[in-house]
Amino acid sequence: MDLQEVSVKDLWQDVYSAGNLHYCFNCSTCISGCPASHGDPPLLVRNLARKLILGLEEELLDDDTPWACVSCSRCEEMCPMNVMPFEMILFIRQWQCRNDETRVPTAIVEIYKRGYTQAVGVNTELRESLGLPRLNTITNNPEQLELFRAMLMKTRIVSENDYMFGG
Amino acid sequence: MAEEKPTGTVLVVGAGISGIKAAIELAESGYKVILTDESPQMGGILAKLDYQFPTDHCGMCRMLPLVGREYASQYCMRKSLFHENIEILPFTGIDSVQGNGGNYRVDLRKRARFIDPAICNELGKCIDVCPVEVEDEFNHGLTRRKAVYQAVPHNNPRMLLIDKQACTRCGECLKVCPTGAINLDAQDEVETREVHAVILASGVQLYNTRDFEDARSYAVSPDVVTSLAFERVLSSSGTYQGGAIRRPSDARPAKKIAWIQCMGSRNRRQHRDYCSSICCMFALKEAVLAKQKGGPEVEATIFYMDMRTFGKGFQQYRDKAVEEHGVKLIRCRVQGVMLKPDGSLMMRYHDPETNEFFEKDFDLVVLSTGQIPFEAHRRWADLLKAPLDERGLLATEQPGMVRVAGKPGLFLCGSLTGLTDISEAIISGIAAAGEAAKFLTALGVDTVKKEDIPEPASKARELPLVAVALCRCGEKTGAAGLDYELFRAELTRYPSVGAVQVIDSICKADGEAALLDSLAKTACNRLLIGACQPFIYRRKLKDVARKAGFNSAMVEIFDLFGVARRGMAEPSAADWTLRAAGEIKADIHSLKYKPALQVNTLPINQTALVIGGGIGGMTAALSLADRGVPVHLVEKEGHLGGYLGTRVEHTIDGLAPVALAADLRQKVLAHKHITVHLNCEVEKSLGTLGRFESQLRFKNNGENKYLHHGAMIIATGGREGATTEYGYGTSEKVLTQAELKRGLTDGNVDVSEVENVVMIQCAGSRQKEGRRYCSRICCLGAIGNALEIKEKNPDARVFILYRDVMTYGFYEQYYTKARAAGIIFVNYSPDAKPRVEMAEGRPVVKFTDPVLKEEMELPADLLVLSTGVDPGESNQGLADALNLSLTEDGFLAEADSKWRPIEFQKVGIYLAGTAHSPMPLKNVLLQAEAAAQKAYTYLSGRELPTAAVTSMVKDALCARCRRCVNICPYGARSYNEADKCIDIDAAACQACGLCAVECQNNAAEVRGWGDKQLMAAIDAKLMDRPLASAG
Repeated sequence: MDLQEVSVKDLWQDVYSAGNLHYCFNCSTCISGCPASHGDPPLLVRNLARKLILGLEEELLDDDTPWACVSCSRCEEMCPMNVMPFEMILFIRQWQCRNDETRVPTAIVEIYKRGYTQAVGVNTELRESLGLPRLNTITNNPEQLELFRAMLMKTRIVSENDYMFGG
Repeated sequence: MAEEKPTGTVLVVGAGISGIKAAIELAESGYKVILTDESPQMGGILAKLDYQFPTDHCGMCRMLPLVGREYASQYCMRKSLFHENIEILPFTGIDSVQGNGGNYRVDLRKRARFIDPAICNELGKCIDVCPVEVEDEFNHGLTRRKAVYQAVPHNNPRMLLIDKQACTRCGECLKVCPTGAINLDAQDEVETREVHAVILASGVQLYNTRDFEDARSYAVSPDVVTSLAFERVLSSSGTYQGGAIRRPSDARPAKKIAWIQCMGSRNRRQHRDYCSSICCMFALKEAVLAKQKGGPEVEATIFYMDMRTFGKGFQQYRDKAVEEHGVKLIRCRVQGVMLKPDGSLMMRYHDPETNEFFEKDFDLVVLSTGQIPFEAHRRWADLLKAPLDERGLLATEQPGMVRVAGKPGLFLCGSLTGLTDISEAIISGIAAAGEAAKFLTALGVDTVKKEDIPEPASKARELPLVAVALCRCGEKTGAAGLDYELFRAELTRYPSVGAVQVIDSICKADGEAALLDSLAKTACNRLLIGACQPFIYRRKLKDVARKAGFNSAMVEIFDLFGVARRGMAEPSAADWTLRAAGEIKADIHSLKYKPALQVNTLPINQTALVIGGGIGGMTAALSLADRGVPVHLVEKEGHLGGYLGTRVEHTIDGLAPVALAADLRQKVLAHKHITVHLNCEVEKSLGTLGRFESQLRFKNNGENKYLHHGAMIIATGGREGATTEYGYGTSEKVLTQAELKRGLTDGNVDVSEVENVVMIQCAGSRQKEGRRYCSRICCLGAIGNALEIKEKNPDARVFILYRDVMTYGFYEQYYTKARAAGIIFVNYSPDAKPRVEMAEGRPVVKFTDPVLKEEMELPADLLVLSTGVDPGESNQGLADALNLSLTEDGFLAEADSKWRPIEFQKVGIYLAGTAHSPMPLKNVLLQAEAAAQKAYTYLSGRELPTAAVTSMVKDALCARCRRCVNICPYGARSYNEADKCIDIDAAACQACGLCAVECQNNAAEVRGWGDKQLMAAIDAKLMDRPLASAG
């Protein structure tokens, strides 16, 4: 790609000016232990930082991977440059929504379906075999889940796109 | 009568490499040195390392003095060090430092060892009975030791001590100690000493997994070790056994080994925004050793961020490690190590080459732990009431140099100047010693006066009659049980023995007098002294013998107590005595055939020649001239200043080369001891240390001039690298970093309108064709220029395309600063270099983004190439003229890259600056000071005694085959074309004996080590019976 054409200078200021993004030296700490980097497509935190630094606005706008973050904040704890990658991901999510009114992140569909972005209620058998208590998740409580969905339906983003939520 | 001047005394704190080197240099210059160390032994970190890059074996002894080597003990330095001008105080701390320049009062705290080394016979019975076991810190807890212990296993003398924290005061050791050397109530002793100068060489703290929280996700098992602990895993005095590298947890062989770089360093989050400089080479060396020692099935993987191979020969070592040894390098900083139930260590990483994630199990993980400098600096600042700089380091007069700001007579060296590798520790040690020596000279103090005892005539031609003097040093022998009467009886039976004397404590004044007295009466012509620790007392005892009329060559010292240490656990008096008598027999035989040896004195022409009138050359010249040494300074150009001093206003780390050069030039030209020769080069140089003759050829008129001098320093510098890559020469928008720097300074390059600037690092460097090496200064240069562009035009976008950012040490902060300023760094691999095409008069740079793996292109308003440093064009001619060799890269080849970095095999010639290899100005200045000090050591006296034991040629037997010339590792032998014979440089010869082994005709021989003599000693040893029954 022609950087001269596609690159938006100082894009980072628009997205994440609060952080120390520029200190990033692509060491890969953030991705090497990231649980969401196992996904398909993988969440590659340092690639998001790179897109920001290079000013690749369009690529970043279309990127769905920030929504795959599981908020474990390991990248945040281990980043040697204190870039605060988790903060960066949250800022990218906000910026994406700000700049694209029609954007409905698939993660919201996940939340609507199961109450969480991630599959929290799984591994029930493994937990039992280890003698761990059953998780009191919303998924295991259909009544609560219905209430939760009704609540979500009242938000603009869900009600205006209700076709995506099976409604 | 003139008032007697005090003897110059220097306190050196810390007996690691740099401290030892500084101490030896000062001692060799004739000053008194007190060398202390906090730990119970000397050697610093190095005592733990069996192998050093690039030779992968130990070479510590190479830092010992070469000429006049009989003043210091030629000895394995891993065991200990002895020098008559150095007082060594291990286990000694500094409580306070009072006073000021030239007059420091220091309170030394000698910590209680609880075992008096003067009385201890070192048999170690106390260790056997001690019931307490604790982790052995020498082996980083990989092994255990008793509360009574020997701090370093290879130390000699053993210097046992008791660990107060661990000791339960059970008293078992007291019961078995035969000499009464143990005192469990011993206290620390504080002693006030007055010194003229202080050199701090105490090193800095190293990162460890215990004290720092960011190590927790890595140090999950005993099989995760630090790089220093891994040295102990590799060492046969550590845990290495049976040809296998074993993992500490269960001693199973470790086959898959990983290194994680930058542990504790390059971490802004932990306020450690610096690189520890040495870890990349350390890890490469350990990986190569693991491959070599562990066998071909060992896998060695290094996880790194930038492989910082910036020093001389580093890049070549990296290439060899990867290509020949199969060490795998992966650019990824892993987030942690996971311990699996079977004990293996799982790491997940991203391989940028395949752009894939891997989860891999390892048997052993080595953390490349770096330095934590701040605490040591803060402690010294408090103690000395000296200021810290903005980084939190002791402020020095010039950044990274050795003079502490505002504290005359106080100097730094070693890791206190930034974590150093061996060669830099050596150089900073010599430089600190040089600065201290200059300070002492200015102070007007004296050097140690040696008692002048004339050498008596040798009686080698008389019938041999040996006098034997045996030392009985009170308690030690009494308790251990040598039967002196039996001893005397045994020896007296021997026909060559004329007299046997038993004397109390020869090492003390009374004993010395008794020895002198008894020798004065004897009719014997050879002398054998049986005493302890001959490596310490040899010189002193030989002085006594000389006073009594014995030629030094006719005197031998026998280690009487070494016998007891060699294998007899419970000797009875008679057993031990007969054993000692048997051992001593060989020395008597050897002494019988000993030839007369002469100590020659070498006349020294006390003048120096410095080649190269740049900043390095001028610094070296002034350093010598200020000490009264006349200097000839030769420069091939018509003016002084060199490359940096005429072109570069400022370096990124705050030095001002042009101003510095102007200042030096003024001092040089005004100095009464310096003669400047411009427009000329050294055409030919003959001679050896103390008497060189050099021919200067003047460029403009072809005239010759001949100079006589005793030593020389080469500081000829290098030149700007050239390239034809990346469209250089086709457009004025493509320029080198040096051209940009000049343009930014003189205003010829206007950056106020530029939009995109692209810089490409390693243009023509670190590749098989062109410069194979890293030029060390280009990353810093590029960052400096990029920051200047951003300063002048904040809207400009600057991209730096690099392979490894070589901002080692505190230079890392400039890399960080550059990124913070918005400069974009793009890594490229040598297999996929950036491409440059010209379009509409502008260079368009195409590259692959290493993170996104996408092809990018960018039209550049300026394309700047880092073309590195080429060796000076006169290097070849200079090497020919001086009979020196060049490295394959064209720089001058030093004697030993680690231990003798600024010396040549040929004694009397020294090296400073870019003639050695590309380096920042700070290093040039240090090397120049160090080279001047090396030269000064020899030039300070009118004559120099050479060693008595050197090699010789029996000319009648010599076939002139010159095999000895080729094999001599010290360049001490040469073929004399005029006289058609072999010449020997007595100053250079180290009596290693290789020539004697190589010579087919027995024409080469080491004096005092003749065949006859050695055979006699061997025969005596082979006669296994005591003398009494030898009949």
